[in-house]
Amino acid sequence: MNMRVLASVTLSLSLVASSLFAAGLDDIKNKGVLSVSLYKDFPPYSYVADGKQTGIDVDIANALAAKLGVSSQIRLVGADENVEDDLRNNVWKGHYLGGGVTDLMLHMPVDNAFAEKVDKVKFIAPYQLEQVAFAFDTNKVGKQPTLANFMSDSIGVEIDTLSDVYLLEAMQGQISKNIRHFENLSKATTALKAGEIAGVMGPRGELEGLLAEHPDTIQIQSLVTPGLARSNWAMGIAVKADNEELVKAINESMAALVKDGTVKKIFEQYKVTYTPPAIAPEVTAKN
Amino acid sequence: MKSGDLFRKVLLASAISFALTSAPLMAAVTDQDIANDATTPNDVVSYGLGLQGQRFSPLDKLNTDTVKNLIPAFVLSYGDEKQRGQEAQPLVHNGKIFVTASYSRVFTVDAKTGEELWQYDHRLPDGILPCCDVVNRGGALYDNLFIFSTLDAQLVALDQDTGKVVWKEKMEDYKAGYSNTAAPIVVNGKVITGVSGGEFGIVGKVEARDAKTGKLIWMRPTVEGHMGTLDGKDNGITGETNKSWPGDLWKTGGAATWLGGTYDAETNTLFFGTGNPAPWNSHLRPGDNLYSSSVLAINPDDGKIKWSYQWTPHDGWDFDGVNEFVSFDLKQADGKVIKAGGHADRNGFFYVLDRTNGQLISANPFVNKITWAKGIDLKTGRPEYDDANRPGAPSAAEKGQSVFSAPSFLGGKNWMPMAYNPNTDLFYVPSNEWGMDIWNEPISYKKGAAYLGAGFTIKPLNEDYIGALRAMDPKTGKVVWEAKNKAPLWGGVLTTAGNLVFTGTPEGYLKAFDAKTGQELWKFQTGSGVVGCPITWEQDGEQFVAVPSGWGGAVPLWGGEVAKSVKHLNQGGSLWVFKLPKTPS
Repeated sequence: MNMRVLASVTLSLSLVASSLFAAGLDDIKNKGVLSVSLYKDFPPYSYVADGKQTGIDVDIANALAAKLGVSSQIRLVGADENVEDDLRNNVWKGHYLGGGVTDLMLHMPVDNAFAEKVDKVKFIAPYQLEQVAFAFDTNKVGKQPTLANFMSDSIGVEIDTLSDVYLLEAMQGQISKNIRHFENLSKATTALKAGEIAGVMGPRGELEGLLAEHPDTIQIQSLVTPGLARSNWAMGIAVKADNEELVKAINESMAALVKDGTVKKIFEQYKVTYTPPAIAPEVTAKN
Repeated sequence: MKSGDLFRKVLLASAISFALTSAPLMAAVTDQDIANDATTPNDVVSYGLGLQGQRFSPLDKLNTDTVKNLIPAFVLSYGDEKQRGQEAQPLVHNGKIFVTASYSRVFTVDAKTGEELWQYDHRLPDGILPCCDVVNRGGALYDNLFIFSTLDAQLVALDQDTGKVVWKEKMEDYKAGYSNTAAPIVVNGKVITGVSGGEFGIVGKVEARDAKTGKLIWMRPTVEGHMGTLDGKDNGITGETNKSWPGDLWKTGGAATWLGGTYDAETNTLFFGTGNPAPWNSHLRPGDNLYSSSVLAINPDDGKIKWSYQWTPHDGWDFDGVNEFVSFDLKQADGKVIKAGGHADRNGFFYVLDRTNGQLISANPFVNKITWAKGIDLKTGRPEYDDANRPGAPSAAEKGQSVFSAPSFLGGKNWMPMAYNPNTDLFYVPSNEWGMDIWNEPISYKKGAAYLGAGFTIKPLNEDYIGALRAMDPKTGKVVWEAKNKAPLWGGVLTTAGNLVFTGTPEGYLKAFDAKTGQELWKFQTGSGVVGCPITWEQDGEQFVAVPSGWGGAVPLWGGEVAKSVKHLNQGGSLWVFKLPKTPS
């Protein structure tokens, strides 16, 4: 009698324990839904076109959900002041206005130094190496411009980004007077196509996606950027820190999607160069 | 005699007819009611207890002798789970108390019984990302309307009797980062508002609308280069384009007017403070960056700028200049009176300006430690910067040197309004003693992309206290007394002719102090932090005091050492009302 009671107590304890630790993946499978946060109004990665969620990150999220045998539920969210805020709002705590958290958030940096600062989440499954590039109008700056061209020609940036801060101080501040600030790169690339500015500086994936259809006079490439501390970084997926089984499942699913060419195909579909982050992201130049 | 009788009859008749015709209009708040608010103790119809913002009541039944008999009359719970920062100032009119609450809510109670009459819950859209908590600081009364602004940047006018929406105007697009939490003011039939959204890409402005309809009358941008409007037509550019900004940065220059403003009828002038310039890194925008971190004196009739004064030219510390500018009479030793205004800035200096022309009269520290400037030059009106203590440019690749800067960006004084007592000639300033470490942060990300940001940690300057209610003499610039508080002070101040000063503490107390000595005379535990603004009024021959209770605001959103002094505090949401009974038991 005593033994049986004890046994059943042990059993129920272990049940409670396992359901606590495996809550993430079990819950996802039981509900049949993987919830994912993606940035909104963020072509070519995540945006709404013709009333439908569209983009590279949308397709990757859907492919991951399919690998897990569940459907995806994508939430398009506004960017807060920094990624730490986005992770608090969408992955580990939830915004104080409500809405709760999602299982994953894509387009997150996979960077050891950053991960040390943000211990509430795990950064996993890097799927693309993003890098800073320039789109420019060859009629205005020729086919082989250098940064110095923008000491006399205008250049667009998304406001308050790495490119913005870099150009404001580059070439001893000689470029700053030619910077045109835009709310986002969609507007900057539209101005480039319209001939209003000579170039745009920003992440290559965004420039390529936004300029998927462009006149021959527009070229996209990297330029030498002296003093730019970080010119590339790996993007991957953020998961709440204690969710080991989900981490494992997502890592395996992403590896399979990379191996069978799904990820490459998704990038190509949006006219974005697929650059798998095979090596660790380049560390800060001077560190 | 006959003519006298006749006269008396006519007088009587006219008095009756006046009473009859005016009876149904009793409820309507007039421009006169607002203009006289500071001297009519039976109601509180404006933010600041009078548009000058002195927060002084001429009532004296409640005084240093009787305050010990002040007792709770009733309390209203705001209910549900939306218990965050209650920073509002209530209003009292026509037997009703009106108060706004977190998440853009409004409550109205019967001033006699405390029973709720109506509640308005503004429907907030999904996806708003307001900075710095979901507070609301109060409303304005005009005609039969209660007018307040919302987190999704709308201005809403409710019927005072029913709480039903009479008109609603979109002030700005919340999707572009705009929001609103300040109390509007009504000046001669116009409702005057600022706009918040301190983050990147926005431009501050002041707007005047017809208070009865919400129709826009004029708009005045607060960054130079932007066009103002009057009756839908261009009304001149603010300042001079590109005079104090490089490149096109003026187009997104910040300078949000997120705390609203005050008004002085003697000079017919609005005073609106402006926030810090954008971007945050001052090295990217050489120049004064007008009119950021300034006060603008604006003509309420047409929205033209009369004068301006910049508290922190070329701000590099996030010193918003939004704190209130309070009009008062500066009494000189020779008996002369200067029409002046007082202002306690984030940057730690207490300024006295001539409010007719913006000339600096004096600037003295009201906190113990200021590192960013050695002083303010009275001849030029400009700060004497300590350049070694300006945060560095974040484009340096490695983690840059850390600079310790005081006050912290939360300021020697933040949003919470001070009070001025014309009997003691003292300002009562809710101040905080804290600094911050700032360093370049090369390993940072924004919207998924690498970014060069700044890291900072706020640090208390003393072991035993952060907050200090300080009595400041505007004539000498000296602190006359102080009352320390362990947690940072975050609530407004009220002073009265009863020689009293009221303010709340995050620890949950509403406290009363002797206005001359600073001696604590009374306190009451409200159950949650008090970060709202107390008011007082007279009703049926008894003096009342009301204050919202509910911990929140910006402080608990920031971590570091400061968090230790506030992390145990419980949230709440209620309106406490106290009274001094006619015959104390």
